[in-house]
Amino acid sequence: MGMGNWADSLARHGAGLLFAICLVEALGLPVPAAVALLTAGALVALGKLTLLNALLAGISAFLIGDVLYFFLGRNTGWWLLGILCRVSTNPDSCILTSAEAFYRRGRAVLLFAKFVPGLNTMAPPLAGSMRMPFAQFLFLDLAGIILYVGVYIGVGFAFRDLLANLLDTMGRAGTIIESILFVAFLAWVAYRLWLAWKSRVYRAVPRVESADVDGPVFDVRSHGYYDAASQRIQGSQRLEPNSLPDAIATLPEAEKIYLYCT
Amino acid sequence: MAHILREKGFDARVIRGGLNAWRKAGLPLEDIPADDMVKLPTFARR
Repeated sequence: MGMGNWADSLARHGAGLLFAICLVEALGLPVPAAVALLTAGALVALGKLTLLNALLAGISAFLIGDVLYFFLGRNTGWWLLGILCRVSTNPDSCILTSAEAFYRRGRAVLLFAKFVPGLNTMAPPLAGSMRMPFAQFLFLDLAGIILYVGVYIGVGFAFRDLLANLLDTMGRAGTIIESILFVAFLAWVAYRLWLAWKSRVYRAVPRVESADVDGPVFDVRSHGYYDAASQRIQGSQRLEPNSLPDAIATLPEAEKIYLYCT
Repeated sequence: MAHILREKGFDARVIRGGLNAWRKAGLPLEDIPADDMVKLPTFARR
């Protein structure tokens, strides 16, 4: 698909293509859903796509992806978050930064998370892992999705002439721009993979057998700790992963500490 | 978690196998204290 045919493809395949792009972004892959929504808004203004179809496609796609990740987060804790953060600059900080943002700002994060790269995909599974009631999540997430989809389609609608000129220019530049963007994308992917590999090499953590534990023990489960009838290692203490900066102040510095999950 | 703590200077180690391995080894467990429940993120307790 040439860049100059981007808008034609979206007009031809309409809501289906928009739905697919938004769903793929909701699942964490780096696809330009915002660009697709802008283009959809321009196409609505030009009468090549109906507003209702554009809104339904975008909203339903994000909602499906977010609900799926909400329940995956609830049932797998930070396992999914670790995968989503795998190719970030620092996977551990990626999780903790998102978790802290969510923990401190609470439910309001869902209203604007879609506008924040990284947090947009992390917010639903974080909400699930933090035991947010589903009805509450659904209401807030849907509000955030409607805001996001509405804003971008609205901007595309309002600036349709600018978008048309931009797409026309890109279409005339054709292969050159495609090649540059493709090489840039490959370089970005290679850089991310290298960062992930480099951080793994230097992150060896000593592991000990249960019988060899001889110091303070901390439970760092991302989920399951607060479940009914849950148990923990006798004498262990809770170290809440969603608010680690606060908890760090209470940790003993001069001795070995032992962490465990499920 | 362990990586982050070690980067901050703590001598953090991981219990291999986690809670499941501890349980299989027959080592003692305890119920979660009731007052720990108040540490849930607030928006989950409405």
